[in-house]
Amino acid sequence: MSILTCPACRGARLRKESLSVRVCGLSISELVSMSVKRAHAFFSSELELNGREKVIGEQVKAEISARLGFLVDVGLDYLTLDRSTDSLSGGEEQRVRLATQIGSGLTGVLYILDEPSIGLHQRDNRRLLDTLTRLRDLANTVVVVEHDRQIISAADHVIDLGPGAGELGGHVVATGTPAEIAEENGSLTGAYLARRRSIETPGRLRRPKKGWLVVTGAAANNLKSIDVHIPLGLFVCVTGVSGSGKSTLVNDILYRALAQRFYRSRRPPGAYDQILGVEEIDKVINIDQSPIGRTPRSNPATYTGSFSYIRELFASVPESRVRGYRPRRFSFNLKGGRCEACAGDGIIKIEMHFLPDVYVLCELCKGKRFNRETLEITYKGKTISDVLEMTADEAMRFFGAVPKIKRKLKLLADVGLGYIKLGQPAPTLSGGEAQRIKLAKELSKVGTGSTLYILDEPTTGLHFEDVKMLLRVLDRLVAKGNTVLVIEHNLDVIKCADWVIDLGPEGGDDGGDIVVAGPPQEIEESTTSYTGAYLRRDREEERLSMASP
Amino acid sequence: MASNRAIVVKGAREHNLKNIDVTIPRDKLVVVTGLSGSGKSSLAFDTIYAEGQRRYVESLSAYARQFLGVMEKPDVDAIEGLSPAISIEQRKAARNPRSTVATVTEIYDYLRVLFARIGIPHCYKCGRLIASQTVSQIVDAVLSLGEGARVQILAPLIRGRKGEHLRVLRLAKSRGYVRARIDGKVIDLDELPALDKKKAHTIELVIDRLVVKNKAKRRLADSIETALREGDGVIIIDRGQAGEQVYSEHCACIECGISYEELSPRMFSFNSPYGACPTCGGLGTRLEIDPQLLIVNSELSILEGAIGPWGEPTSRWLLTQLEMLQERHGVDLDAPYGSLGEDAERILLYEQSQRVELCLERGAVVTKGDGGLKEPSPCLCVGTVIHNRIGSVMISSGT
Repeated sequence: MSILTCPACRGARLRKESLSVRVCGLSISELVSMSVKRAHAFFSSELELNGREKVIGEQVKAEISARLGFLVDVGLDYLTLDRSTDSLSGGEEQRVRLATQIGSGLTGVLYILDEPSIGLHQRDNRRLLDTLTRLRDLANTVVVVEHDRQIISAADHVIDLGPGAGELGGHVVATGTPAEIAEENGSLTGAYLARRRSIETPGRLRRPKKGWLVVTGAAANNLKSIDVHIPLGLFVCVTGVSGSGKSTLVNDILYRALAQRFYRSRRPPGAYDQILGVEEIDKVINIDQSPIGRTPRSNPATYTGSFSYIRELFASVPESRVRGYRPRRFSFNLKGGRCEACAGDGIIKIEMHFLPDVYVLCELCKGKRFNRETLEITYKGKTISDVLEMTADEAMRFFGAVPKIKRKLKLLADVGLGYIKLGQPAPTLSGGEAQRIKLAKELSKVGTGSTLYILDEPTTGLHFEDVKMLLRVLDRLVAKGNTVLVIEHNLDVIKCADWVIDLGPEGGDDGGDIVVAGPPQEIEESTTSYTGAYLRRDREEERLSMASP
Repeated sequence: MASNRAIVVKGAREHNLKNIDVTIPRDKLVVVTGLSGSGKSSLAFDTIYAEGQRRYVESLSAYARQFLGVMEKPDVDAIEGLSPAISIEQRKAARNPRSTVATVTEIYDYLRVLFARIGIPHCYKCGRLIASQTVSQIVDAVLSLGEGARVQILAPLIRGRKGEHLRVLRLAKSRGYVRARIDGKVIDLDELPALDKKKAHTIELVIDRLVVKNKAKRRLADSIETALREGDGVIIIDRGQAGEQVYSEHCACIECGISYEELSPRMFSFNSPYGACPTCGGLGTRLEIDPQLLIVNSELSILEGAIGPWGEPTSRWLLTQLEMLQERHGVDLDAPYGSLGEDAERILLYEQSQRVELCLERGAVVTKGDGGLKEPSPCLCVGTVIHNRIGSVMISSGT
């Protein structure tokens, strides 16, 4: 079975009667198939109303152009109006809703946003900031959880939490204007803002030596039939303004084509001529931000495989042996050891029909997920349920004497997830966390050294310090001979890459070309690349701040 | 008071927060930052936003609250100066295929109103403009032809339909009309020609013939009104050599007769049965059997396993039917699937044009003609083999 375009309406969704009603010669489906940019031009200048139409339509027209204007302001001018929202990235969807909120014109509201800069190129950050300040100027309070340097610097007030993660966090480290934060010595954020700390560009630069993976004639969506050369065995970064075709190239063409080859995937890739050099790699792994599991029964411990060892450990304590408890007893998925009232979920789901489901704590086990007998078994004074409540860091210390478990847990700490609880249900993990858990799992595998890893915006949700950690992890993968291909806007990541492919120059129809490709230094020297310009500016600022104190 | 200008959080302990006090200035752009896992989201979402939500829910009636459930109070001593909170997170739980950029931004709602109010309907068959006129507009149009123009006002009764139409014509005569135009020729209703009942005819009633004069405005209007009544809202102004013009007081295509109801916003909603494409229900896509997925290797023959779900056909039931296809339709079971041609593919995948009943008798195939076996059983409609097996998992009822 496949999802095919409807033969009757050809994807326009409406009956033919409705489609033959026109305004200015266009049907409603033709209108919504325009990009926001195009539609904005249409409504602000091309659509001429006269006489009766003017009286009726003027107000509606004004509303529509205002809303289109907001969409342009949040940097989404390349989207078409009929684009289905489930195909939008998390950041895009958030910005669509942000644009809608501005349109509502409410005042006195407290808006809370989670990393609105995700997926935005530095160039579009400015416009996003303008939108946020406009929301503020309508007499609203805007609270943003954010790591982007530009947005932090533009804030009226900054609250820096820390100092560490998990149990080591939760304190207010510094608060005040960005300038005050920058002067605060104890604040990591401040140190990065003032550039006392920074992510250094690695001294050594790997040169392409293992050969190339070449995609020729890539032409899906807005790509202009381009040939892309990806050096193997390096850390490669694909950049470009939003809508320039990065995801199309990497996810829709390259990943799908390789998945078809390696995994007999049936999802057809976007249009391209051929891919050369595939024989140089033996598999492709896409480490995206999709959840690691949709059921609450999946968690970091089960996903990384450390839970099997922990269960074996619990089954081997003397009391277990006396009672004859096997490792299966310590699974919350199997009958025997789990709490049967909630079937090991710890919570009970109550369906509310037209309202979202409500979860309540299980009355019997009080959320511990196991039955009383199982909980009587302890290892170093902790029950299996206590272990699930531990963070990876805590568990690592706790299981310090068990190398097998410690090794698995250390990988979580290596990718910056030391604060995560072992039993945290998979659906509650953020996209960035899920991505890093996948990375941890990849690191634990014995690699062949010729794998292609694809990551879409791995810095989502990461603080400067976390980015540093992530870069180290990616570096380890490359050091084993693998190729790491990331789509990224974060300047710190771009400048640490071995090779950069900059797409553009603009988004939508004006993009889809290669602006410049090469080591970061070459990008920086390019006069046509937006990414290059921001890299230059970043270096300049760094130099100035180094010079001033 | 300070709380007028700031949101003051006291003693926040949610998750890993260490009993912290935070002041958030009002009407300002405030950034919360820190390492991942340092408690940013615990403060912003799980404490401040959660409390805002909880207070909102508390303000609702007990009746409404029973649906919302009791929201747990976040672990915080106090939050002062909190205003209504709206969170713009990155992902919402519901993924609805009907939601588009235009609908979530409400642009689509405005577009619907725009199209319903100033949209111009066209006939979906012939592309002609569909316009409705009032009597006075038609009168003005006729007057604008200029003084002295000779016109004939016609009311269409029959448009290209086979039959003698005697009843229609007699009725017209009995109501006092004297002339009609049949297939383009004006005749007297007293001297009706016999119409060939096997041919299609067009009949228009002649309501009036007049010379356009400003003085005759009254009569013109009366005649047009009568004509509209007789012609079911449609009227033809015949100017002899100068051609003719059709007007309609309804929203209908004057050529194809397709009528439009009055335009309303719901006609442009793909979530309403008034607007949604009836084939896909407004989704724009349909879940269908994709022949490309079904045929795993078009270089193999059917017997070698070209059709995925069958594999190499081994069951007698299936083989019998395939042999029958070979016999009746010349579908070559040993040739590579790719070489079979469209006819064979259609028969295999969709249907065959005639229903063939089959009866199994000790493994032999007896195709049944007229007056064969009385009740052939088991009896199978061959063409639906794939439908029965794969079609049963479809969402809609089939191809």
